[in-house]
Amino acid sequence: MIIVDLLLALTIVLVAARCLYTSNLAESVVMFIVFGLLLSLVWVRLYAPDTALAEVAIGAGLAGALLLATLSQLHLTHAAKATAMARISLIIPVLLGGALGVSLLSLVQPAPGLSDLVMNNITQSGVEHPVTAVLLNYRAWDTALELAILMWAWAAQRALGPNLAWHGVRLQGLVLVYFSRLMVPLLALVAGYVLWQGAYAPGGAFQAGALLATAFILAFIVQQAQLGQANPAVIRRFIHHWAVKLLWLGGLLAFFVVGLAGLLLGYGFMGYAPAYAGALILAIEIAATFSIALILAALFTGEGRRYE
Amino acid sequence: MTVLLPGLVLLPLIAGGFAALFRQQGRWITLATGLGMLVMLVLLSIDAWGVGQYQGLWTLGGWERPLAIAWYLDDLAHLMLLLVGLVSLAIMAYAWFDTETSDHFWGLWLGGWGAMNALLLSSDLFNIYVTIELLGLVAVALVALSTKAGAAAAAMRYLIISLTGSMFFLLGVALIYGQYGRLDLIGLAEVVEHNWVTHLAWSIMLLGLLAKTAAWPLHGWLPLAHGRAPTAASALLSALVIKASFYLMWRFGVGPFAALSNELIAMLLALLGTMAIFWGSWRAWKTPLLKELIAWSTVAQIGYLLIGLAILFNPQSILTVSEQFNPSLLLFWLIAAHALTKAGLFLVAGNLILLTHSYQLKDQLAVLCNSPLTLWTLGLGSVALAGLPLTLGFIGKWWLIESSVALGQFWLLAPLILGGVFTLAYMGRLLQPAFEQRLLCQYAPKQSDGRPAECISERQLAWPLLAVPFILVLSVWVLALFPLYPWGATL
Repeated sequence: MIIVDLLLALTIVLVAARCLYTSNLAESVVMFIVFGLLLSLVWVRLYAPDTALAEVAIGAGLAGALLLATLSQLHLTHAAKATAMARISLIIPVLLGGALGVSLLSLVQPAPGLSDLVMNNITQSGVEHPVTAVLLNYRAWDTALELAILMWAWAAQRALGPNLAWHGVRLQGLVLVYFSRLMVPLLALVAGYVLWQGAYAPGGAFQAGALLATAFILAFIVQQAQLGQANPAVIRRFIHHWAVKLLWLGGLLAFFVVGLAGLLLGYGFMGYAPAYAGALILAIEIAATFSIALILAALFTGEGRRYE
Repeated sequence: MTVLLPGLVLLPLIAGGFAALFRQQGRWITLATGLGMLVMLVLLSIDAWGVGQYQGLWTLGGWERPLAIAWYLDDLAHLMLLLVGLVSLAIMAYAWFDTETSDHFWGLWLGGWGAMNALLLSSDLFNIYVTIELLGLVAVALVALSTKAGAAAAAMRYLIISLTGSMFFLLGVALIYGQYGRLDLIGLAEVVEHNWVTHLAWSIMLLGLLAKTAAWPLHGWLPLAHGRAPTAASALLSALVIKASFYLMWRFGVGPFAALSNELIAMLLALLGTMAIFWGSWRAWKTPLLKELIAWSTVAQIGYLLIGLAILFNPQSILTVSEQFNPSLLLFWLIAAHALTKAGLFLVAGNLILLTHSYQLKDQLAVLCNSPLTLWTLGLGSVALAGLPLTLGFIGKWWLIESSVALGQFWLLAPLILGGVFTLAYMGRLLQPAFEQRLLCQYAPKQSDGRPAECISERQLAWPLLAVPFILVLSVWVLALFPLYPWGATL
């Protein structure tokens, strides 16, 4: 196994270097996606399947799709040559990496942490999976703020300009259409499963939301490909309907309403009544899944001309 | 804990979410939110004056430290909440009347306000990382709102610096967790010890935060970003956003990492501060652009804050806290003075640009010759920025001078005193014509046929656009007159 790990580590460094130093932007994006996929393998090897799932769905999948969409709007295919300054600045990550390497040698063994506390309280947390317990119960405030970050990432993207319309290549042929007819319902189903199993196994709102967003994006691309047949951009209009927009904030609102209710009932801000913790966490996760899916999909589709 | 503290974070975040999604209603949502926030801040302050039931440690989620995320409210956090709230409200009032305010502004800054409040209250390393991530995102978007040439490039540069700073911070957090297995600041203060990992973690966190504060020599992004952002955004960024990362350095340096402080790091910070004062003032003296002058002045003023940090970090400093007096809080008044003055000055600059449609310093004379209130605001603002006696900045600077002398660091007197002189010098580039009253309109740009151009009067603007910056600047003078009990700054 050590040989696999070493190969993995070496490949990641090479892919990262290629991603940074190729002048072909399309190659750079593809390398970034490959980098994300390899990184998710590393997380698997580090026994962090939750992080691996999130990395592959969001880091490689959705971030890759967003980068490709961005690339399709740029009128250039090649990056400017790296300046001498950029080469010199490579010394910073090298120095930092060296310092981190040295510090690895002196880290305390066995690693101290809060794992014992997490496991000791897990019966009261409402879920069986420790990662979900941390994200949705012990440190729910962090997760609520993460949802806010996603919301404001969208707001920031909107602030950049009137619209990011999808100028992707006009896709042709029926393969994509049939493929997506199969995939979109399947993705929705898997998203539901990943969400549900988050209570006792790796999974949860972020991964499920990313899968659902992929379903939206796939349907959106097919819509764009079938211009003339279907009503174009019906997906985009659905996402931006005012009633659906309320769902965007659903995750944040669910966190805050439950958090304030906990405060008023005496369990502290962001606290749950232990008897209802499991149900409340599931409710928050469902709301968060829809929020994440819709916002991620909206980042990809843009608002359309209506707002220009 | 009643709903007051969570309310201060939740209200702007929820309202900001709605304002971002439903932009047409954004300004009305903001109005309601602003009033609600004002009420909560007043209630919080009344409580601090009397009972102080909100002060202290709050753990979230009904769990105990170190499993739970903790909030901590003390005088410093409370004063910062007030400062952020009042300056935000003033700038939003200005933006309300500024015809060039974008629809996007309201939702974005409400999110930034919520993020700042969450940051000020937080006492947990990872939670603080999440809040600076949100705040950084908002700050970059605010710069990108500008339609000015080069704003997009400035925003991109800011984004890269800001994200790199956040990543450095996160790396430090990971190392600290790896070493001590906990993230709460109070618990860490008890266990932190001298070793290679801790020193490395604290160094890279400090580096990231210094970059986000725009400390010399990591300041390159600031004049571009603050110089090209829309008016209200420049004011918010210079007055508040850079103070957030400074606040964190202050908190960590005297809190969990106090044991790591030594005279070397204090000396280093003092040197950076000195360089910032000299270099920032020099560039402000040379720049031909109005807003860049004010932005470079921010770089110089951060120098004072860094020297203040150096004094806090110096183990030799005497910072005895008595029941009524906390000497280190005097540094807060320097932050407040800069926030209020700089917000006012950026808003005045916005007014001038609205009137002249020019970013050049030399074109602003056409307005200044016929606009008494603008001139008064600039004059009072310049003196307040220089920190002359009778202004709030003087309280902070006097403490810096006193502490430097007490530490035997006499060389610090040079930047501390010269900095004020420099401030008057570069602000004088704008004000000097005003002193030569008779010549005023002759200095104004000539028309093509050689006749003097007509002076542009400030009266073309809605009165709140003139009143808000004047009040902001005036408050720096008025606050200095009142005894600032109960927050350890009775004069």
